[in-house]
Amino acid sequence: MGESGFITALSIAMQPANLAACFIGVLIGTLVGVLPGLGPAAAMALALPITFKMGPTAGLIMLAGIYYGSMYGGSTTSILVNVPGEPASVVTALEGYRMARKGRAGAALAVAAIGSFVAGTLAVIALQFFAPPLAAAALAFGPAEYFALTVLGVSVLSLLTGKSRVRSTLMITLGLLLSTVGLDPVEAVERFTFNIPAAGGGLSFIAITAGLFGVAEVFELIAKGDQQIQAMKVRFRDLYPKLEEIKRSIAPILRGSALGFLVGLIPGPAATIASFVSYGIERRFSKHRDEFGTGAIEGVAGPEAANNAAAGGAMVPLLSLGLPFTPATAVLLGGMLLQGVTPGPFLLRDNPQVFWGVIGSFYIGNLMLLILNLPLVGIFASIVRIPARYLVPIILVLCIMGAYGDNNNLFDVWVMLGAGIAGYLMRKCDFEAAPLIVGLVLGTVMERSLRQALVISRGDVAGLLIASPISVVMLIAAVVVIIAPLLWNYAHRQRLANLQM
Amino acid sequence: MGEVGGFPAAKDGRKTPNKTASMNAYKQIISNGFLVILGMAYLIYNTQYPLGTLSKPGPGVFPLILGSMVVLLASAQIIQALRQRQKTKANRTINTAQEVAEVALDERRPWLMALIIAAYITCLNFVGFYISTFLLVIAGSKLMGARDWTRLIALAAGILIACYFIFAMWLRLPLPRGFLF
Repeated sequence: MGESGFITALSIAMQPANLAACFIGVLIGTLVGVLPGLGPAAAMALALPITFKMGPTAGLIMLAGIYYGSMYGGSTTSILVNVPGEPASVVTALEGYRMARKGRAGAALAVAAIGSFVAGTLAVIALQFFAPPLAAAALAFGPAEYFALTVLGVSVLSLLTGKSRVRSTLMITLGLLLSTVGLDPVEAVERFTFNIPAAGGGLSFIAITAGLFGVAEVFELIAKGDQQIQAMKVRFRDLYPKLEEIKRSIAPILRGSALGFLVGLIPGPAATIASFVSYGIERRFSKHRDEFGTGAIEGVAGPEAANNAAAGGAMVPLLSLGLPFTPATAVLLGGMLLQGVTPGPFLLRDNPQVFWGVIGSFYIGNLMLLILNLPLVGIFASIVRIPARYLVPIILVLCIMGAYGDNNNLFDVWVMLGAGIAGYLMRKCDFEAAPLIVGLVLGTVMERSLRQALVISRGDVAGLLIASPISVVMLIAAVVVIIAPLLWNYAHRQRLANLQM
Repeated sequence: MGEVGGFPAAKDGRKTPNKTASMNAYKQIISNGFLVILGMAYLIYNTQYPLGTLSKPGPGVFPLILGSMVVLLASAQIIQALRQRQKTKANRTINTAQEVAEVALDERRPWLMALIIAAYITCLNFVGFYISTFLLVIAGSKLMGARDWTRLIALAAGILIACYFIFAMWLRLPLPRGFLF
């Protein structure tokens, strides 16, 4: 494999038709990522009929391009208007938007693009050399391990976001609660739909995200009146990161790449989890911890690298084992089946040009995205200076289209409006929306895992908790994450009290 | 006029941190009170779903856990807010009527926008996407204080053209149709 596989991959990807498909895919992906609400899975699904006419290799290259292109694009709206284009870009908005408000939008976008390029390239190298054993490790996860992972994810998230852990936990729980609307993931019992047929499929994640972030932002802008969005005029030399910013970004990018790829192997919303965990790690270990919350470059570099690497990691089980673990890879699987290509262990044997073509397109696609994004950073940065009275209708229409586009249903637009009102009130009351979104994404996985694990353990809760070394380690880590800060604070207060005496 | 903790500063320029803390505690009580009611309503509605057994948990189990957590966490927040309010009550030097009046002025427009969006969604299937969206863009910009009708119409037309090419033609999204188109 090794070197000859790399050459084969590039030679297939560089064929004119495949090159064109890659370019169109990454362009659509970037635009989809920039447009809030319309996710890569939806865009890929809508593009399926087009790819059918392109042949298996070119068609799948284009779909893959939309997938990882959207990771790049998602960061753009996160940074420029605090509206995450993708759930994996939610955390980028935490620091990236604040950097934009300080006039460093161009630097944030550039670091996000460079970090994504480096992470995507490293992820593809890892994909090529480590796919088989890594996929086997990911397969070892059963329901008990999935449940332990989601509990750990919730614990870490409650620590990372917001000023109050209780409030963050409350928001995550609300998100989990919203995920129970629709069909129960185990027995398909319809819950909390109030006899509304459109609610049977659950509340649209896209509609809720567009509402909580986009529409809530619109309401806030309207309340403030016609102000230009705060971004100082970006001088040409401010469009690109300073040397110090690049130096500070290197370690987070490398850490994010490694973390993201490993998390990407795990089923579930890996890119989102990877970006949040990366943010938590950078916030914890950074020498510039005090800058977090006010626009720290590490808070952009690490998570953006992590979510792109996770997109690469998510391709491992799909290409090697034929198992899609994210909505986007599920659509990619659908595209392969539509083309008569069966992914899995036999893909490399029966359709090597598809396997290597998709891998090769990652190298080419990441390079194309870097070329597209860096020169256009100035154009993206200038979008921020559009007066609010013109920007508000644009954001609003994009959110409405994103919500409607999920299921072609006006019910989702109503959900978007409700989420927008809730998001605006949440901002007034110091409740963070990001944990709610993550809870919404994790809810189905968490519930299914818990119930399946209890079935497997025949109701033995203790057996569920110690089902395997992996689940034990993750649950212990979750307990540590919950208790350690409390003990630390208690010890700190005691020390202060002793000093005063 | 400056801001203190998100509220308009007193007109004589004094900062009033106790006023801010008290208003924050008040908001926490109201918002978490709403969440307690929501959690309890959720739990009551959940009683129709079977809990099953420990070895075969039913569809009511996970919602029961979540609803209980919402009620407990929100109640804890209310208790914390009440304690905070007790501490700041003695130092309160607020002109409540002035605060309410100032807040009311800021809040009218977002709620008006929410009503406009609701009317827009209602009209979509009757008037169609293009006419409804055109009117929405005009209304939204006017609410923000836009005055130049030429730019408004150009903006609305530009958005519609972009929507047509991106969503209808490119992504093939079937847009709501009215009695005309």
